[in-house]
This record gives sequence, structure tokens and C-alpha cells, in this order.
Amino acid sequence: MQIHLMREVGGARFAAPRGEWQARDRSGQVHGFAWRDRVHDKTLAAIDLPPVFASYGLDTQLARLKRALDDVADHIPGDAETTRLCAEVVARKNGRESSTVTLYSHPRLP
Amino acid sequence: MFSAIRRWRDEVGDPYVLGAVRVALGVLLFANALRAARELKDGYFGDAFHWPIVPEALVPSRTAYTVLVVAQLLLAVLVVAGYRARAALLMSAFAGAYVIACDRLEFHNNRWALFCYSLLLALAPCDRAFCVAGDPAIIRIGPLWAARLAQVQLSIIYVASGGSKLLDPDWRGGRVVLERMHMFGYQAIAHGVPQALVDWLGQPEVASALAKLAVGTELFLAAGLWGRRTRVFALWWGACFHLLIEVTSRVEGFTWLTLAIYALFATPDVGARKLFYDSSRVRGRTIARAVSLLDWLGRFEIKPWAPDAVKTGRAVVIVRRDGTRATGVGALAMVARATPVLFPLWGPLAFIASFTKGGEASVGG
Repeated sequence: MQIHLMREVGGARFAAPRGEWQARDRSGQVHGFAWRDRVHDKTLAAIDLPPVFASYGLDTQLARLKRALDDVADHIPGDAETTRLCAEVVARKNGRESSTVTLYSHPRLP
Repeated sequence: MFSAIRRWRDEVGDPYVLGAVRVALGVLLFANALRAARELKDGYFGDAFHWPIVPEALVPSRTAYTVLVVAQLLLAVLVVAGYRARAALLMSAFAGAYVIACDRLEFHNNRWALFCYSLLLALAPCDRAFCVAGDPAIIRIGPLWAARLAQVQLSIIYVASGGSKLLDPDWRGGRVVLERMHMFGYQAIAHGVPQALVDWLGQPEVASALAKLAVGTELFLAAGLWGRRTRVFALWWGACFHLLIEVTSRVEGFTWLTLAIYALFATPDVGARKLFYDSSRVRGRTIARAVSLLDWLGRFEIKPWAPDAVKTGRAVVIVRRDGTRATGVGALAMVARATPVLFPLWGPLAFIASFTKGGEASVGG
């Protein structure tokens, strides 16, 4: 599996290369954010890296990734722009054609 | 049926081997706690993304977790030393299970298996040998039902692993093995495995055959470890299987854990085989010393002999449980069969010994 992180701002979607992005807080000040500051698990932290092996199965890793998206969304109080985090997972099961699964965090701004 | 269960429940034997297994588990528990301590140095898991099974309120604070990791290290030392070893094993098992319950990302099959084995061994008299601290018990006989449960756990692992692969068409067809070869073959090459071998293993037909061999091996081991006739071959085949996995995959301590549990399948007696050596010859003394150092399971009673008609000219003669004698390659095979470090050599040595009648002086009595 290969993970690409994105964030939604309003209705638009922006890539967060290597799991990093910048956003303004409520006072308009710009801050840097990094996925790996919060997610240390080797499989889940591999954003925009070559494909990693989905230990304990793809379903397990997707469930963990969904949970991680919610967790990160809850722990970026300095980001007053991102309405939702999103992960596109390119999954290739046992040498077959790859498929893409998109996961979302819960909405984080009113 | 009930009488078999009752016999199984009431079985007693020399718990010497249980002490050796306890030491091995203690070392693995220490390594596990050391890994946790290193990870803690890089950051406390509770400060980052984690996914507890228990309510978040039951996840320890950084300070409490630090104390827990230090306690795990100390408990592992007690397990190895044999001081309050059973209580230490029990607490290690609960502490390990608690950590997994605090973050399911911490779950790994090998860690869970380690804590389960620790729990089961804590219920067995594993503190009557290999004690460097405390007083080892004088009674050298004890109930073996908990050790047998640990053996059952190993068989369950094999059935679950082999069974799930058998039911998965991708696994039994070789697709999974093939994909792993494609994904991780470069790592094997980096570790010195010849490119040609990796390429050969990466062929669909070879991968398919390997997959079937792996599934067959696991299912065979689940039952073969229990049969009197199949046990030694199953142990040898399983040891080779796990050592191969160890050099080709990352399985943390699972190889050493499984090989440690294999020792529980040894017949629960001590010194049932005799090794006689010629104390007037350097070779005889050297072999006797080497065997005494490697005889971790207490299989041999080692004694110098006064040479007689059979033993003359021999540096070493081994008397098996049934009283038959082995010399030459046969004796070497016997030593390999009973010593954990040399055990992988048992297969080829036994095979060679089967062709050498001269080297196998079998004298009844």
C-alpha cells in the first residue's frame, strides 16, 4: 500500500506532500504541520514513500489509517483552514491490479 | 477419553527443561522491555496517535508508563535469575498484555505469544532449575499440565497460521510468496543472498511450490510434534523452517521463542543418556567438556570410563535410553539430537550415520 495525504479547505482539496502542510491559525499566523509529528507507526507514517507491506492485512491498516486521520484532525488546533483530512491509498493486493481507496477524517471545523 | 485427559492432567516429570525454557523466555522478555525503553526514549506512545482497547482513562501517564517499562526490565531479570521466577513471569505476562491493551498498534503476534507462554509457564514448576538467585527447590519432580498447555498453544499457532494460508487461494497458489519476493528480494540480496537464487525463488512455479511447502510444514508440525515416531523429525524440520524464516524475514523474537518452546517437547527426564569418554585422550576430554557446556536440557550423564572391549579405541561412546550404544558418526548424531545449539545438524548427521554400520556399534544391554 502507498499513502498520499491531502487536506480539504472549504470544498477544495490540496495535497500535503510527505505529509507536511502549512495553514493559518485564527489570528492569521502561518504554522507548519507534519503528519509524522503525531503518527509514529512505520506503516501509517509512510506518506508519499514507496509502497509498504500492509502487516496484518490491508483491512487492518485501512482501519488504523482512518483512526489516525481522525486523531490528527483532532490534534492540529493551530490549523484554522483545514476542514477535513483525506488519505488516498493505492493498494495492490498480491500482485494484482492496483486500486485506490479514499479515507476521510471527520469534519473538524464548524 | 476422560482417562486420557486425566492422565494428561496428572502427568509429572523432571521439570529441569522448564527451567531452561524459563531462562529463554526471560531473555526474550528482557529484549522486549529493552525495545520498549528505547522507543520511550524517542517519545511516549500516549503523546502520539495510539488506539487503546481499554478506555483512554486506563492508559498510563508518561511517568506511570516509564515505571512500568522499568518494572518489566526488572521482572525479566528475576525470571532469568530464577528468583521469584513464577511470580515474575506472571506479572510480566499481565504487564505485557496491559501494554498491548493500551495501544493496539503495539500488537504483534510474537509479542502476544510471548506473554501467553509466560503466563502458562508461570503455572508450571519452572523454578526448580537454572536458579542463580534464591534457593532452588529440592523436589525434582513436578506437574507438567501447564507446560503441556504451552505445547498446545504452539500447535494452535501452527493450525491457525497454516490453516488460514490453506484457505487463502492467494497463499496456497503462491501469489503471496511471489509478491514478497518481488517486494523484499532486494533486501535478501543486500544481506548476501545470491541474485541468481532470489531470481529463481521469484519464479511463479517455485513460489507456488514454496507456498505449498510452507502450508504443509505448519500443518504437519501442529500434529507431528506430538507423535512419538514423528517428534524428533518434526522438531528438526521445524527448527530449520524457523531459522530460514529468521534469515529471510523480520519476525522480532518469534524464531527464538518458538525454538525455546520446542524444548518442552523433550522427554521430561535428566541424564537418561550416558556419554562415556576416554579421559586419557585429549579428544575424549574435549568432546566431553563441549557436550557438558552445550547440554542445556540435561540429556546426558557424562562420565570417564575404564576402556573395555567395545569402548577401546573410541574417544566417546554414548549409551542411549534403551541401552544401545553409539560411536563415531552415530554418537555425533546422538549429541546433535540432544543439544539445542547443534540440533540443526542432527538431520544430516543422522542421515550419514544411517549408512555407516561400522561407526554405529550397537550392543544391547
